[in-house]
Amino acid sequence: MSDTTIATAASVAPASTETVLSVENLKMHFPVKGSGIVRRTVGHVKAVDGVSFEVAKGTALGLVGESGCGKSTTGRMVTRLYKPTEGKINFEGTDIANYSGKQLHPMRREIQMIFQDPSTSLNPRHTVGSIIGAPLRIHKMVPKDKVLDRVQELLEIVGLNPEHYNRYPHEFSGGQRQRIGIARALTLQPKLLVADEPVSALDVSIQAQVINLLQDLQKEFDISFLFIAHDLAIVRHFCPEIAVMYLGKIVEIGDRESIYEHAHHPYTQALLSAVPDVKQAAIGGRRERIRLEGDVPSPINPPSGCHFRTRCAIAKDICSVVEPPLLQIGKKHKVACHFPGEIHQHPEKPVTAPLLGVDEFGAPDPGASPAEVPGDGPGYADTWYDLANNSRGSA
Amino acid sequence: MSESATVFEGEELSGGSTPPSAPGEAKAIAGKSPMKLAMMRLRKDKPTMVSLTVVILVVVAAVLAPLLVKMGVLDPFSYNQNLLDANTIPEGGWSGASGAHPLGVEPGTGRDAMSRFWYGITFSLMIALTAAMLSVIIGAVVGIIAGFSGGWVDAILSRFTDLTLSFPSTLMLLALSSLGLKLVQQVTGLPNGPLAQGIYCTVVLAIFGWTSTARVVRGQVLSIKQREFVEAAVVLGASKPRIYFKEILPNLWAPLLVLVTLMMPAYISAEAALSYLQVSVKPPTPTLGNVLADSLKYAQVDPFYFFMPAILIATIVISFNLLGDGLRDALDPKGDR
Ligand SMILES: Nc1ncnc2c1ncn2[C@@H]1O[C@H](COP(=O)(O)OP(=O)(O)OP(=O)(O)O)[C@@H](O)[C@H]1O
Ligand code: SF4
Ligand SMILES: [Mg+2]
Repeated sequence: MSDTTIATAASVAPASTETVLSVENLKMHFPVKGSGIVRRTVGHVKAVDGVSFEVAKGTALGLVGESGCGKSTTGRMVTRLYKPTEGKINFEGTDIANYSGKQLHPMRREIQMIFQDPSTSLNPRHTVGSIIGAPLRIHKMVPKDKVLDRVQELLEIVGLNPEHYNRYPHEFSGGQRQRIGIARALTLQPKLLVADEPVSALDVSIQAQVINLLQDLQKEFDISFLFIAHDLAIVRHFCPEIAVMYLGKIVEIGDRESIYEHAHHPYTQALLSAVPDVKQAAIGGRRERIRLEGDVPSPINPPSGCHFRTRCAIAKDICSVVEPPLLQIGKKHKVACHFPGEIHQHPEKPVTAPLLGVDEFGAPDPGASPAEVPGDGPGYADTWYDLANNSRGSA
Repeated sequence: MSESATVFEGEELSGGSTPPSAPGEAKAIAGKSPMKLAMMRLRKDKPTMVSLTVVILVVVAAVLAPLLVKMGVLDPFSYNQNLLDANTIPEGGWSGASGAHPLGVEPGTGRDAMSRFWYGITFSLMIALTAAMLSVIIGAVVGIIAGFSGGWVDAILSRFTDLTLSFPSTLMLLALSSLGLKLVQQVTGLPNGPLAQGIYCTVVLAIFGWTSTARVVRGQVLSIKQREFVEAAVVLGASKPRIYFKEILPNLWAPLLVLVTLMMPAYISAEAALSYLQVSVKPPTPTLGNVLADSLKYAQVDPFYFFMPAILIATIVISFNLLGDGLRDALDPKGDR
């Protein structure tokens, strides 16, 4: 029996939590138009190129990655600001990826968004009262004379003075404006909140307060979050599950422990090395700083094979030939790398090669029998690929 | 919740991360809408306030003139040959200024100079103002639709704008003036007179003048569209009309106001030029262009009469220009924060 054989193990108890959002193979390719009178499409920005993930009810999934890797685009597809090029967005079991404007209207109440920059996400010509009350008027949720009551209630919930409903956004500080944006998103009592870097534009001293507020709201109203951030420090306490994106793809996804304690992807490891680690410092240890060389390549022409290979310290031949599949390597842990392993313990041979039916340099291997790769698709399977003995494992 | 609530107090006290404004200033502007803020800024701007005063005076004068003519206080039409010498030059200095004719009389005819200048403002201003508003309305509609729809709608409208801009408008205006005037008479049923001539001039100015507005507005819409509050409205489920009228339009009033104000001086000059070329309102009805044309003949013999219309036009044009610039500075959205 070859070591790549995948045994069908007994299934573990099904996931206990209900799934609110399940995204499958989502793609967003923006056309690039040439100049000239007839603006032909000359290429595509593959901003998001096939991502799958799940958000469980009442929890938060963190979406992390450097600038330009497609986090906002993913969030904007989930809120259906963009219509995906391909893929499914299952919200409470219904695929809304191809919904038209009219069909979307009732869904809008369920999925809301918090924006990155509170100085542009609030209309400068509207009072705070009309900004927070707008959703109520749009969806005719409460009678007209009750709108103000609800607005004041919401202002209080987010920690603002309810008497300030008459003021304009420019009269508030950045942190206060973000609270207004949060109140607006809460107005419709959504089930899912997409928070696109909600604290990146704020002073460091205010970031924690806003995160705390979001955490309180999550507990109070049982809201699920897709929380976008560009570093792993911010999502650490907020998100029990984290997905790391690079150039339009998820390179590693897993629960908090898998990502922070047992990251297997070199990119995640590099991002982690930039996170000040309180626990490690306490025990006298120190994370080695891995510097990421160069910039993120253009998503118009991503590198062949593994997108990360141009900046990867451990890249080998196979990396430029074959794209690594997202392989489930733990109960709640998937990684897309030919050489997955904890830092300094990456295997010598590509563990994925036998699965894909190629040799260790990426050339097709006539002798191998490609197997189904556990890990494609949203959520986690009950069985996975056990790296320790190169076989199928289970809980 | 308690934690965020307590720290929030500190945020309030320190003024949080609000950029430049000092805490004291922040208190002073509390409860002010962006418009009110702009007005406050405007009030501190001396040159703009002076030009605003002049503009208001000019507008009031333009409104009063027809009434005063009706009441007989102003008389721009009667000839007073008795006030002219043998060479039909007004007798006495300063164009023969007197109590009855404060700015003297016109050489050649002896018509009251002040009446002609004053009444001339009315026609010129009406034409310029109507043309400016029409241009801005057409331009705003084209610009908003182009900017908001994007895609092929934008492509077609932008080409159309470019095409209009490249049209030799003055030439057309001259070549087609008699034809156009007849058309106006037919459509409106008006006799050939100052009103029909004025309408023709207004329409032509507007038809060729909206392009700059369309471009500016399109750019503004594109930039407003990028701002996240529009996306927020979409996510909230706002309808297209709601986004147009409630989210985008309120942010366009300020630039549109500036555009109208800045278009006024251009149209006043243009109308004067057209009157001079006899394509706008024709004599004997006075317009700024007509009185300027009349005055040019007397440059040497009656310098006072020669300079008056030029000074009048210059004052009006410069005032509108200064006002437009001042408004633009005061309404600059960057100044909002
Ligand atoms: N509307 C669009 N048209 C064309 N390209 C786009 C569009 N929106 C985003 N992109 C491109 O897609 C890529 C991903 O953008 P996105 O905004 O999703 O990145 P991000 O991960 O949110 O980065 P950041 O941290 O800077 O917000 C970028 O290269 C960007 O230039
Ligand atoms: S697949 Fe290769 S290039 Fe990509 S992360 Fe793994 S080792 Fe690096
Ligand atoms: Mg982003």
